[in-house]
Amino acid sequence: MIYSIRGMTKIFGGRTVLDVDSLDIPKGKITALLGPNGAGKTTLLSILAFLSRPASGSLAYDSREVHFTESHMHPLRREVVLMNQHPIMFSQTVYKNMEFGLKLRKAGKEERRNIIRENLKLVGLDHFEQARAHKLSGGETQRVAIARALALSPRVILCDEPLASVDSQNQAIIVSLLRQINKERGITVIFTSHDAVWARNLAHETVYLDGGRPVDSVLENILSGSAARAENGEVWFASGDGTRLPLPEGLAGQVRVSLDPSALKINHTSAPGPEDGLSGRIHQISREKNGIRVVVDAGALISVIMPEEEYKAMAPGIGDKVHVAIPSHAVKILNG
Amino acid sequence: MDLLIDSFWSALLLLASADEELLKIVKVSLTVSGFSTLIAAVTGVPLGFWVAFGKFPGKGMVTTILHTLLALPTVVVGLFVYAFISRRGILGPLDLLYSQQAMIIGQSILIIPVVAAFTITAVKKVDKRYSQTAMTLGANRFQTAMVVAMEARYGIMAAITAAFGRVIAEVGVSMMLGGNIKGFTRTMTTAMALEYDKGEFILAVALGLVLLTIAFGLNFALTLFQSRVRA
Repeated sequence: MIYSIRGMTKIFGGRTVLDVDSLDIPKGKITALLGPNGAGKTTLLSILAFLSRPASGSLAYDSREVHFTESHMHPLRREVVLMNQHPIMFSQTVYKNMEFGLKLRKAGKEERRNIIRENLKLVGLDHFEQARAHKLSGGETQRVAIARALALSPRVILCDEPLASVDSQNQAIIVSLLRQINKERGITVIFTSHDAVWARNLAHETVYLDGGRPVDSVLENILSGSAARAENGEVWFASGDGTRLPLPEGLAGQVRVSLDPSALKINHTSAPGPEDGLSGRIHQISREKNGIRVVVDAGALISVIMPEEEYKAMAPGIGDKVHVAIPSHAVKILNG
Repeated sequence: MDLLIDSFWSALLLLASADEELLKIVKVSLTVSGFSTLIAAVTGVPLGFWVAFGKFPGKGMVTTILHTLLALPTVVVGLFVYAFISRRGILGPLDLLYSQQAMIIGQSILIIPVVAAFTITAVKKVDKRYSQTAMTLGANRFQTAMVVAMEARYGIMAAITAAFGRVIAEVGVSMMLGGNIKGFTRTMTTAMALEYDKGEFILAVALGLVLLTIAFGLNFALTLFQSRVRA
């Protein structure tokens, strides 16, 4: 294991933003930290990068206990590089940006030049050496940030939402780069994402976080709304986009629910069922390891995983109007 | 109006003739203000960093005091330093009164808060990701501070330029601690005040023109620097 976390908490302004009982992250693999906004992904990444200290708990890095003092963390930072969601470039040339960490490591001039050229070439930006780094586009900046990190030969690269602010062309390049550096250089890659689809595609291991805690199952299709009691006494979940779901007795006020995509059912019925579901048009279809993912735009984007045979039998197409049935076992209450 | 126009033309002639007294005055002004700005820069910039990034009790109070000192009247600084360096003051034996050193001390006290306060503003404006990026790339605390200083360089340069502008144009400290001694502690502003008292405007206008030219030159250089940084 490259990281082993035990009983770790982090508190901001009196609120616990991270509460990890036990978490191990394997060495030499690509691990995705998934979860909605505010799940504690970035906070955890910052601790793993030795840039912030937890309020309590322990962290072992490569089987060595980490002491959260500046003198102990500084040498560890030389093995781990964090890439921000929006990486920042020093207001100098790309070359100077890449040279920064190498100079700190006392690499010679010739060595620096070779390393910079090699890594800029790897990310396909070898002709950008003398470009002003803070003038690059979002995708180019991400790629230079990867090259700047790789130039330091780290053992771990931590990427915070690496694809969130880049176009689709650069997304494909970055995904392939992360895969390549993991495979060819054996670098452990840990990245955060709130998009489960491509993250699962890239990662060997996946960790789901919600409310600062690792959770053991996929949390997708998270909806926020309120629980209200109908005239007949039943409790219903209602969200702003018109989604209505039956809820167990006793719930009231603001509620967050997660809908298990594998438990949802799609049918072609143009007229929506009673009230226990929602309708919309198919937005996206993609193949995954465990079936076919169909994303339905029903106000919110709802993912449904269909078994391949079921998908072939139904043959839904993008733009088709469908109804998504939500059986009660598909609904997981996240908070009451 | 005629008086002003006549004085203006005579002042231009005086400047063109490179009058020795005028050059001496300008040299004293630049030397004293240059040294005091240098002292303020090497103390005020680190002080600004310390206040901006340090964690210590009373930090808010220190910032408020620095901002209050921005409005410090030059005569108050003059009086304060005078109390220390006059014959009866605790630094009296050093015999500093009416010397360029005394003026430099007074002017430095006047502008250290200017440099520190503007430095605080400049470095606080630097995106936190710069320091985080520097640290994750392996920088220690000092190297991280240097990265932040680099990104805040325009703001810090502006702070130092503003400080120089404040001292080159001040009268109180120079007059009270320098004594306006011809050829020794007479600066552009004290000379202008004296010429005004005498009712002689030619030298005063000529010095005013030099002062404005210096101010323009500095700000022009700063603008050039800014455009180069942001290019």
